[in-house]
Amino acid sequence: MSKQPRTCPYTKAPATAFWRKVVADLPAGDVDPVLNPKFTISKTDKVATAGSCFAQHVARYLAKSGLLYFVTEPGHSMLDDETCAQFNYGTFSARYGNIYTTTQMVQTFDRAFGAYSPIEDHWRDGERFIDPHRPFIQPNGFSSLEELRCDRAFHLAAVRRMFEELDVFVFTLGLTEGWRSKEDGAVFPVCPGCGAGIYDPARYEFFNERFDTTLSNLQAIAERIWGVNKSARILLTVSPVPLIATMEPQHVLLATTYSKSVLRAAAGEFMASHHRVDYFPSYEIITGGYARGSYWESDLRGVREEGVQHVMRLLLRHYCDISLQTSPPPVKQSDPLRHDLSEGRSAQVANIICDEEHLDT
Amino acid sequence: MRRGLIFGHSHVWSIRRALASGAFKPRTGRVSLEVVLCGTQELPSDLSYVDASGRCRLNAAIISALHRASQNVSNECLISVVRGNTYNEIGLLTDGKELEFHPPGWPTPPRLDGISFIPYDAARIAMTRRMNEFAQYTRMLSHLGFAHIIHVAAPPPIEENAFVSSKLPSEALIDGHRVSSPESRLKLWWLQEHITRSICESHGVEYLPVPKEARTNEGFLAPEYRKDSVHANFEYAALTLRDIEKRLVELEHPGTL
Repeated sequence: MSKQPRTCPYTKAPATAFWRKVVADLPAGDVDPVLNPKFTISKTDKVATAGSCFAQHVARYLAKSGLLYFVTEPGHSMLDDETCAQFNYGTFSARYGNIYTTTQMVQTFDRAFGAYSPIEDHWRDGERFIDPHRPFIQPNGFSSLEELRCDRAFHLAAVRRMFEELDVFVFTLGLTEGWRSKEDGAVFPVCPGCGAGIYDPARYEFFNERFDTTLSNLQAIAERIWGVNKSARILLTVSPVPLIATMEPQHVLLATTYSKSVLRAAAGEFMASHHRVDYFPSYEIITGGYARGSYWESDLRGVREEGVQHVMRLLLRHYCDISLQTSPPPVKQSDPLRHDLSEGRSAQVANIICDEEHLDT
Repeated sequence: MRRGLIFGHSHVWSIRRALASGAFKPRTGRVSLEVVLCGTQELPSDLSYVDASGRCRLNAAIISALHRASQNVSNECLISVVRGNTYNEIGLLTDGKELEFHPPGWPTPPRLDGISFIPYDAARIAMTRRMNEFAQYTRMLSHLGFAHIIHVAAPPPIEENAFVSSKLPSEALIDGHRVSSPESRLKLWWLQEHITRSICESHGVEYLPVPKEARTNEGFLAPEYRKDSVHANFEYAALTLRDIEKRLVELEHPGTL
């Protein structure tokens, strides 16, 4: 009997299909899991960002990379760099702060376009007024309710313009767990009572978005964006940053795995069926075992600059044809009389704003 | 006789003219007021700076002028008229959406259309940072040993945009630039003076407010006191000198005027 020819289909698979060749045998910095991006980003494309705290890294690099980082709420020229950073101008494309869940993103869009107006208008903190939907957008809230509402109107107009005019929307999915109003389902970026607001179990409830909800929210976000901007491209990514705390009756390690798995699976599912949606593997680049944990800060939560650079190097290379040689330029030198302030600015840049941290105080 | 040594930037020109023209008529013979440094040519560069050893220093032109003019610091008052136009440097002109912020208790509601809104705290912090040099300057003035120090408030803005535009060089209003609204300029001036007063108080420097009769009901510079787009005239300066004289006499003889 003659021998049957070997037909194992893996023999014809590319090198990128083999763990040993492209993960285990490579120096960590050379691992590149990005294959066949669906679209490119040119230097004239308006790139907008939103998402969880990891998205701030993305925004920071985009702003310094020569791309057109699209900011529709940049802060008046009267404001110096330090004040802009303190008040979160430029942290994202508009001053919405961290958007952790897909439901929060849908509601942010709907609020901007007048399709949704949460019942809960503001929180009080002594004489100050807090916007429940961006409670840490500036130090100590607003000085009056009138000011808060005016700032919100201005902000939401900037969000509208962002969605109408952007070319690429980079959305970093952060969490599935969140808190919402029992009355109308309005989602807050932080649990009321944790750093802002007052916790009241009669008024607020915990939720943990399942796969189906996350997927339908992604669909809703995309439909809304394409409804006002039909050629917009969407780049989804998942934040590698673990949950700082969970309200599920389970270990935070398991809760993190669940949350990230849902987000990752939903992003993959949604991306697969839309040609103007792509997935970028920030999550895999940082959490992959090949890095042997070297991209984590000592708290095993914060991402070290080397890790962020790895992420952004690949994003800029594959989507923008930009070679990232160095870390972003340092903060510009201030004049000597403001030396103390420039130090404060440097410290701020190094400390990405994370609303979640209010859960662990 | 108590001496008042006046120095500062562009607003001092009107003071000098008020003194020279006789527009200011001293009510007593107890005070002598003289200009020792006038305008940005005589007082160039920053009011204070950090030297190579990291020490904060006062502008050398000020030190030099005071050395020349001073005879007896224990009987002399410094009259500071500096940095009156910071608010104009920020917001006299606009080429896009106008700046808007809403100080607590401001009598009119914030505008919403065609503006660039920022929170009041952001405006206050940014202005305070911008005035850090003035704060250092004030602190160092207070260490010179003079009997008293008065800082003169900057004149409020002119309400009528057409007048402001007419006094600007033509090249200022090209490329879509226009004069900011009166409301915007008034708020910026108010913020500048609010912070100036606070800095003065924290360093034991007296803040001399704008003469009441020189302001309209809305708080702008009364039309009869305007000189050009950003300065008050010598008649306004005469009112200021009147108030300075009054304060210096009161300091020496409380209840005299």
